Amino acid sequence: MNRLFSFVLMFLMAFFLWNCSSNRYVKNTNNNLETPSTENVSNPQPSSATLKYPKVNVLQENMSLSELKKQFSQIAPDINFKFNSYKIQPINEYGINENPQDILNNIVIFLKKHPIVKLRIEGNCDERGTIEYNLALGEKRAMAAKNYIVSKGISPDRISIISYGKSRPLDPAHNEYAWAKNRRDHFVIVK
Amino acid sequence: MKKVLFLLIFLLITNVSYSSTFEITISNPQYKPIKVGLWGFVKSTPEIVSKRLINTIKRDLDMSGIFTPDLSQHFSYEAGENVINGIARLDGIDYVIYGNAVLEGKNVYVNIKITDVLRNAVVIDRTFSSNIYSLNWVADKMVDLLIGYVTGVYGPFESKIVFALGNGKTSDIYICDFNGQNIVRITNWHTFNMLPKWVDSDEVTFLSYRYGKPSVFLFNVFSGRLTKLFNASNLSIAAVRYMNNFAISFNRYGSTNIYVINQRGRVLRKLTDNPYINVSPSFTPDFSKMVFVSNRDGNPQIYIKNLNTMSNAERLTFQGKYNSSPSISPDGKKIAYISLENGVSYLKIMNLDGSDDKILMEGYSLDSPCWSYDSRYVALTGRIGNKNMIYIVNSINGHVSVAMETKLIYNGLSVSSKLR
Repeated sequence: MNRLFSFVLMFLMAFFLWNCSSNRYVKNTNNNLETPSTENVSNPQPSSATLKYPKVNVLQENMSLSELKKQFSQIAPDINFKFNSYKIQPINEYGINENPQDILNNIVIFLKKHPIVKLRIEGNCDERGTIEYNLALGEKRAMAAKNYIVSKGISPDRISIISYGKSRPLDPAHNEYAWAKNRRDHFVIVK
Repeated sequence: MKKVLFLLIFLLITNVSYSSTFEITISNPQYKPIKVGLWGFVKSTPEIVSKRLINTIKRDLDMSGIFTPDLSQHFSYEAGENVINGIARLDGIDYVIYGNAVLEGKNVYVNIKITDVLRNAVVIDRTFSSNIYSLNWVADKMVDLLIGYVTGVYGPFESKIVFALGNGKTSDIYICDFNGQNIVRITNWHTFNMLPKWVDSDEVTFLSYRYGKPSVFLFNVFSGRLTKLFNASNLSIAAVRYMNNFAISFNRYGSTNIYVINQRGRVLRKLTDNPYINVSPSFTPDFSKMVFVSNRDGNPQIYIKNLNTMSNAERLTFQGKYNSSPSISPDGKKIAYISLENGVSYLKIMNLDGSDDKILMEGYSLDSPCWSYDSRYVALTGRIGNKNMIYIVNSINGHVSVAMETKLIYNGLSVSSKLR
């Protein structure tokens, strides 16, 4: 009888311990993670993910912006102008041979592909004119590029312009080749 | 036959001799510097005082384009006027500057005399109380007095030049004396600040990209008070004084025009109404006329507008395809401006009606001409090789001197009125 009683007691204790253990819960949780339910897929919880992995998310965002800038710099080099002109026209002089319209068309395609992106156009001049007139001329150059891009269907709200006149030369030399490089519109993604 | 042959040879020789005539250009026929003996101070004068005074007086005399300093003699203050004038006459000198100075603590008492050798008399005798740091101002004042005595018009050296200097990435605002001494930086914002203009004896305006978008600031150089004057456009260019307000060029609805704004940046009046570029306003002393630059005829040219009648602007410049940066002299008689031809820039002056147009100076990247308060000198920036200069040009005899020299780039310049 004693033996039977001790056997039943041991069985009950073993059963109790089995019930108290977390193995079943752990096993079930693991199953859930490995095979997520359709409910979990349809209702993601970005807030909790952001809280859990903030650094990873910020890094990814930066990388995407830098990638965008890298892509943009490949398709949007500076466009150049003739002396004292803000007309967008093909140029073949002093080592520059380009059709600015091709570059602007590429920029339009890029902006249409990335509708969140905003653009800043920076107008620049060579050193020969006077500072005040060159500021206005640089602004006209930036405005000419903006008008072209807007005419191709891009919202003007996405494009800002600024003029630096002759104060930011790309090439500091004092010859026709340097001056031709410095008469330019520079394109920058701002967001 | 021989006579005919002789005649033909004679005609041939005379023709050749005619075609081989050559020209001699005499640019400044009246330019003959007046010799000024700069014979120093009495021996008891502290060396730091005499050195500073003599250096500045010599610099000013050189830059004036009127005088040539002579430092060949050293005289004691106690020497009689007759002795000084006698030796000066022997050396062919017209005026002699000499004096005495006493240093008491931080104060310096300076007595300076100028003798007119021809009249054999002391014509200027002044005593100043100063500190060691203001000795340059004493020297400037003496040279101004001498210029006033000799020419009848007081000299320009009691003014300051405000200028912007940058390296292509940043640009800051500086102030120096008219002769290029005592340079003080007034901004250190690690951004682009340019086109400073004196609008009062103690206030300058300048354009800054401090907040990304270009803004015009008003800065009190003595109190350090900074006020944002205008930033309501993606392009606003330097503000100049217009009566009690400011005239400023900025872009509105795609065209750059000249407007009048008040101290709070509110637009009061439109001075030009043209869809092209209209910049660089400069006014006559009574503000009845404005000269400015516009490309309304295709290229930048200088125009004048009557602001009383607001009649159509009249074009003043017709030579060359690029004429810009006009500056009306304080007496309202002359316009200094920059003309560009074949990569070479010229400083030119003309009358208000465009007559008597003449070249004053030739150089590279000349810019920002601005008159001194005596309407005789023009300060401007320019370049020789890789060095950039602030030039001081005497508009009467064309004498050019260098006030400052640097490898950095100038981004505008303005000369103050006579400071106290």
